[in-house]
This record gives sequence, C-alpha cells and structure tokens, in this order.
Amino acid sequence: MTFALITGSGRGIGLATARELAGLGAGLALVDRAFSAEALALLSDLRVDGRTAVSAVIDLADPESAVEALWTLVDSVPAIDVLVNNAGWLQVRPFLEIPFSEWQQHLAINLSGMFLAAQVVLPSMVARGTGRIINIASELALTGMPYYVAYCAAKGGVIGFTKALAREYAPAGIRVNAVAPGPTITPMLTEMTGEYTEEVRLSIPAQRFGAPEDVARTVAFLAGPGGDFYVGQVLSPNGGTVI
Amino acid sequence: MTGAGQGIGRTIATMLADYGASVAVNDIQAASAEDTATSICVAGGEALAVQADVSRADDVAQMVALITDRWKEVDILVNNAAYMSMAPLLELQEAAWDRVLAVDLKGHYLTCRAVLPSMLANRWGRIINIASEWGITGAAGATHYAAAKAGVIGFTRALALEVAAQGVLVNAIAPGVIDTPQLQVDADYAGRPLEAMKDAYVAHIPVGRLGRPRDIALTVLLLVWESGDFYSGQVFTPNGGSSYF
Repeated sequence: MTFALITGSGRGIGLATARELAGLGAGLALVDRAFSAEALALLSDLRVDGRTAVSAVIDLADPESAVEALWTLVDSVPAIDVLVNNAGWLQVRPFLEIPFSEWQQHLAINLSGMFLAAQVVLPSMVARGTGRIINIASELALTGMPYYVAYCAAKGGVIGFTKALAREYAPAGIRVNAVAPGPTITPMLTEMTGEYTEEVRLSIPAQRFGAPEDVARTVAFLAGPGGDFYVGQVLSPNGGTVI
Repeated sequence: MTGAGQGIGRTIATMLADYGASVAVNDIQAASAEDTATSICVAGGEALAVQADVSRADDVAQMVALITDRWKEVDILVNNAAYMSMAPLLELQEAAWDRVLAVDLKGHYLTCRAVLPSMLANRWGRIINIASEWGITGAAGATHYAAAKAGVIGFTRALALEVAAQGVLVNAIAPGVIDTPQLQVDADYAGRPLEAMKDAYVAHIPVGRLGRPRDIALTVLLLVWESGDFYSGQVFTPNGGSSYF
C-alpha cells in the first residue's frame, strides 16, 4: 500500500489531495497547524476500514520543533512513498508595507517547510530506491502579482528547489516535481482576497475557477506511473490563465 | 489518433482503447494502421483503421468522413503523426523542409479544422498535440523539425485561447527521448549503430533510461480524463531530466 505524507492537509488543496490519494488506496499521514472536521472524519473513516491514517499538529514555521515532530511522525508510520509539500501561507499587502517578519514567515512556511519535510523523508526513500515528492507552487510564481511579492518570492523558490532536488535525486529513483495551481477556490484564498468575482471568472479561458480536486488529480498523476518520466517539471492546471 | 501505426501513437491508441475509447487508428501506411486496429479489436476493444496523409486536406477530410460515418463524431484528437529527417541547414533541401513542416505542423491545422466543428457544437473536446523537447531546446541537424515542433507549441497555445470557453481543451506534450523506431534517424545522422545511439542518449538522462511510449500515453490519459479538465494551452514535458528546463 502506498503511504503519503501531506503537509497543509487540514483543509483546501491538501485535504482534497488526501481524499484523492486515499481513494486510490493510499495510507495517510496528514500534517497541519489545525484540522477541519472533514479532515478528521476522512481519517477516522479510513481507520475504520483498517487503513493507516493519522494526523499530526505541526507548525512548519518553527524549524526545531517541526523537525522533531516530523521525525516522531515518520518513525511511527509506514515508510513514506509520497511526500506532498502543500503547506502554504499568504498575506496580501503592498510591498513597502510588508514587515520583515512577514516576509520571513512567507519563506518559512511556503519554502523552508518543504526543505524540512524533504530532509526527514528522503533518507528512507533513498534507502528503498523509490519515492515521489510533489511540491505545490503557484502559477503566480511564474507571473508575479502586485501585492503578492513575498508569496511569489517563496513560490518561485519552490520551483528552483524542485528542479535542483529533482536533478540530485533522479538517479536514485526518486521523482520530484511541482504543481502550480491556477486560480483555485480554497479557504486560504477566500479568506485573503476578494478576487473570485464574476469578472475574473470570465477572464479565465476555461471560464471557471479551479477546484482543489483539479490540483489533487494532478498530484495523484505525478505520484503514480504517469509521473515516472517527469523530472523537476512544473504542471499548471490553470484554465489557460498562464500559457 | 494520427500516426498510430507504430511507436508512441500505437501505444496511445491501445491504451485509449483499453480504457473504453473507440479509436480511429490513422497512419500514412495502411498496413500499420490496420495492424494496430486489429490488435486492439483482438484484445476486445473498438478500433477502425483509417489511412491518410495528414499533410493533405483531401486525405484528412476523407478520413474524418469515414470516422464520423462509423461513430458520429470525434471527441478526442491526438495529433501524433510526424515525419523527421536530419541534415545540417546548408544541406537541408527545400523539399525536406516542406515535408517536415507539412506533416508535423500543417497536419495539426488540417486535423483540428476537420474535427473542431462537432467538438464546439457539443461543447466538449480534447485535442492533444505531440510536439517535442527539440521544439523547445532545438537540436543541431534538426532546424526544420525543431521549427515545426516549436510551431506546434505556438499553434496549441493560440487554439487553446480560441476554444477553451466552449469546452474544448487544447494542450501539447513535448516528449524527451523516447525509445521508438524514429531514433533510427538520429542514429543515421550521428553515423552510429542504433544501440550505441541509445546508450549515448541514456548517459545524459538523469533517470537512467529512455522514455517509453507508455510514459507519453499516460500523460494523454491525464488530459482526456476528469484530471485534465483545468488544463488549457499547457505544454507537458516528460523527458527524464534530459532537458535543461
């Protein structure tokens, strides 16, 4: 049975990814700072079916406690076959109003969190000669966006991180790739921006916003046989907004 | 499914049929098209062999007429038919340039034009154009092929923008080095035996193997299932790490 560790899986894209991988038979280790009722119910239903499905409250912004908690988690579950680095954080603000601490928080959660999780998960993947790491970036890392400077910087870093890590570990049988979602309706974005308007919807070539499931299915693809010949690539389900 | 007599096209056709699609198997050679179609039918799938040279508008029209006669309309078009030759620019004959551009680029225009009306009427269609890593990176000896494959990418993006609002999603796949009969062209150009050519390629592919037709077919499946519903104008690059991008 495939076992997946998914960060930022208490809600939104992370939770949709958990559902998708569970639907394909995976066991789950979910990591977040808080879990929605839906996430907890998913885990409980899986356990009733005899699946290994656990959650851990971990704050990736605090490196020392995060690393310790990740190791504790990883040591208590089956070997991780798939790591989905999905944890993300966003504050929308004009550049000159960004305090340095908020810049650092963007990097800590959106980028450094991936570094920490990958360092914990990779040794076992290398030992077994197999593994998949999927990093959730953003189409905004490719284009930039006013008032999103810290977020775009961190997500851009995710792409560089993905490409370099992919090249380093491809010979070891491990595949590392990124998904750069387009305008997707998630709790994080709904809370932060009022941008999901009809006017914006009509500006998207596919004429609809993305759903978390659109991202989740691409993650599942990269985690499966279809992902085996992809090395350090960025797949962007974005309805045609970034071509 | 154009160019489905062998290689990547044959595998895509077979896998689409395995997953329940009725597949029109096109190739410029009738015998190879029939061979693929027969093998699909023998395995319990539905297939129809349709010979056509995709660079000829009348061939394409005839082909689509045969298909719609049998199955009413085309929901999924995979433009895979391709012709490749190699020569340094100064030795590249005009006829060779014209042939590669006609099959590898104009062929996409002709087939899309033939199937688009019913896709638009149904507000559902999936068009997948097979380009090449060389359409992005170029390759010495392949100016015409690289131009055509880069053209496929531009064509894909423009068409995607035209039709996405009507439920037709157009994307491209730019494969890296795949183990197919077409590699013989590379080997001949390099003056090497085929196996030595393959070994030379593998030495530069981080995953340590050539691509298989199945690697490309799986991306096609991503795009024709629900998982492809939010992709428009994208270029997928399965290449085992052989590219610099």
